[in-house]
Amino acid sequence: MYGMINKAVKAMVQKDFGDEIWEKILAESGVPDDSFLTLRSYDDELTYALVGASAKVLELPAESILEVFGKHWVLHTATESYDNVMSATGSGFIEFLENVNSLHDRITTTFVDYRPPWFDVNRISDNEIELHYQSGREGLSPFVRGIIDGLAVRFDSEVTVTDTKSIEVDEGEHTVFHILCEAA
Amino acid sequence: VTMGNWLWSQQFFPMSLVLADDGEILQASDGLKNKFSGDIIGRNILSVFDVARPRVNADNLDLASRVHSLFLMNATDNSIAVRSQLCRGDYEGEERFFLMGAPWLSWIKQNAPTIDLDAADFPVHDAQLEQEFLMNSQQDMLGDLEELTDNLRDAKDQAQQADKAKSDFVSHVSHEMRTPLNGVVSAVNLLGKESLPTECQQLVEIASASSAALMDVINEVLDFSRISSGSMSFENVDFSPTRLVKDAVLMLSSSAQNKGIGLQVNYNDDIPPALVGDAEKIRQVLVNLIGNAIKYSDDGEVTVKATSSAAADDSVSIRFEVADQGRGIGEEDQKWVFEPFWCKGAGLGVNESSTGLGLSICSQIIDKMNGSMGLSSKVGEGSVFWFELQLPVGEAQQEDLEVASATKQEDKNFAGRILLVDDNAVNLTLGKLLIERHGLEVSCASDGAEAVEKATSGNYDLVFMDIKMPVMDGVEAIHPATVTHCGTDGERVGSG
Repeated sequence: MYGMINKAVKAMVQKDFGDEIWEKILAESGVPDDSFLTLRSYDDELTYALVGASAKVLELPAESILEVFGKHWVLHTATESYDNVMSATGSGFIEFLENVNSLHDRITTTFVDYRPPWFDVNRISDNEIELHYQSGREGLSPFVRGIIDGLAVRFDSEVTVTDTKSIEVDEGEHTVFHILCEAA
Repeated sequence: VTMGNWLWSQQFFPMSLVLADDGEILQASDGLKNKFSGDIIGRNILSVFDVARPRVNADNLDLASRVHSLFLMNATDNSIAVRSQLCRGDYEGEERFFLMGAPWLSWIKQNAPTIDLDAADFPVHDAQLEQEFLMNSQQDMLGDLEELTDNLRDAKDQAQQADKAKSDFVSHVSHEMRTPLNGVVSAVNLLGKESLPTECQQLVEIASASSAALMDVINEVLDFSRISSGSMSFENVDFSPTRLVKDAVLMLSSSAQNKGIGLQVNYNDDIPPALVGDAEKIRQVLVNLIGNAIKYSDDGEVTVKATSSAAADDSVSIRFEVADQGRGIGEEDQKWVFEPFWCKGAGLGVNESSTGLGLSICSQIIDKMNGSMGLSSKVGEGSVFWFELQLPVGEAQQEDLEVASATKQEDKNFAGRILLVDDNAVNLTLGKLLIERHGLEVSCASDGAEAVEKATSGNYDLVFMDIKMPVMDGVEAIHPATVTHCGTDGERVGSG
């Protein structure tokens, strides 16, 4: 994953728990140093090590860490660094999810080794969707769950995930989120 | 689209395809056809290209659902990669799909850099070349940054090594200074107990006060060095918090009296009789705060207060406060008061000095005990320094702890024979004098071998032995085999 992800994990921990906890997490992870470069591609294992160490040090399940990170990603990292792109992707919760593939497509054009996930939105009614998340990576569905929460805040929407189910795939993961969304 | 239009459009979209609904390639732009060694017309797009984006299903291509999508795909034989947009329109009278695009530059650069591309492959509206320029600049910057990061990391490592070497040196030198200074302090103290002419007595008092002050400085430097290197150890013992406060106050009562400053103690009744923690370190902090309060007050009172409140899991939160009516500390200086070497704004008098380490050591000790420390102060009105610790409630009885503490302070006289073993002649001389003052008979030995020989022939009640010695060290001397030869069945107790 790109350095911006690891930088965001670091920023989230420092913001919510302080520098000292981050130092403990870094030591626990075995990652030699935390001077991540935004546009450099790092091994996925490094990111997983940071998340695993965060879970251990903070005594929280890794899924919870990823959820909090997903929300932080939308509300801080993406908003602070790429707000124009975020705004161009959609002005409402469902519209954003419908266009998020285009956003990832454009990034794929430029960044080598970028392997974005794929999102399909099935509209059930005006305020009800099924969001299919498919990725070549495993274990990141809680991160998407956090992104949903972050987008709800960004678009000032009342969002409820009523059901989450996994679909078996040969590689990576495919998760379906059943979502009710009321714009505030 | 007529054939004429199709050819004309290739100026703007040099890598283009016309597809049937099932993905069969009906037509390809010349720019694209030229990249393949064989004919691609009539083949299915998925047999010619791997599609990276969007996600497509080989069993159900469903191109209609992807109209307007960006298609990123590379030839299965890596002869070209294409970045294009899917459109729907008329081609020679039939509704067809069009993939209109240009080479996918970033993929080619990464995976097939030998593919020949020229400017005509990138029409003006396609910003990939400009983007490529930016990405190359970005890549250069990334390289520069990585080099810079490596240099910074090396510099940081070197600085840390130098810092450690400096700390080790300071620690070593302080330790080396403390040993002879201990001799000076003890000798001067013993001298002070002799009957001397008044003038000599005054000189001895000056020597005693100066050597004690120097010992304080060295101890502070040693403590700071230990705590900075993480080698300061902490113990958990039962102690009486009220006794601890009384002891700390007692230690400084004569200093307060000499300056005409009142020293009050105040604690609430519900403080548990025993807590578990490092009593020595807590006392050290409290003594430092009371000492500062006296040092920076010209008159008035110093009040030492201890309060407690229940915390979770059989623990209490105990708070110690030392309030004075002294000079106080300005608001700006309060931010730096716990920083090492801070002396500015302390309002030191003409004959007063400070290493500026005391409060820094205190705050780090409290921090290591997971406590908190702070102050409130107003210039001209005084200061209140406080610290809070969460400590488990102990099981010992108040009376036991009081007795233990009182016994520790009592000056007792004993009877018996002691063997004192040390290779340092000064320590032997002073140790012998100090012990003899308690009514004991003392013999000396300067190494382990001599100690074993004397212990074998003499009848000693207690042996005080140094560890590091020439000929035979203390550890070997008390080895069970050696002790057996000595014919003693005494208990071995650790020594420093």
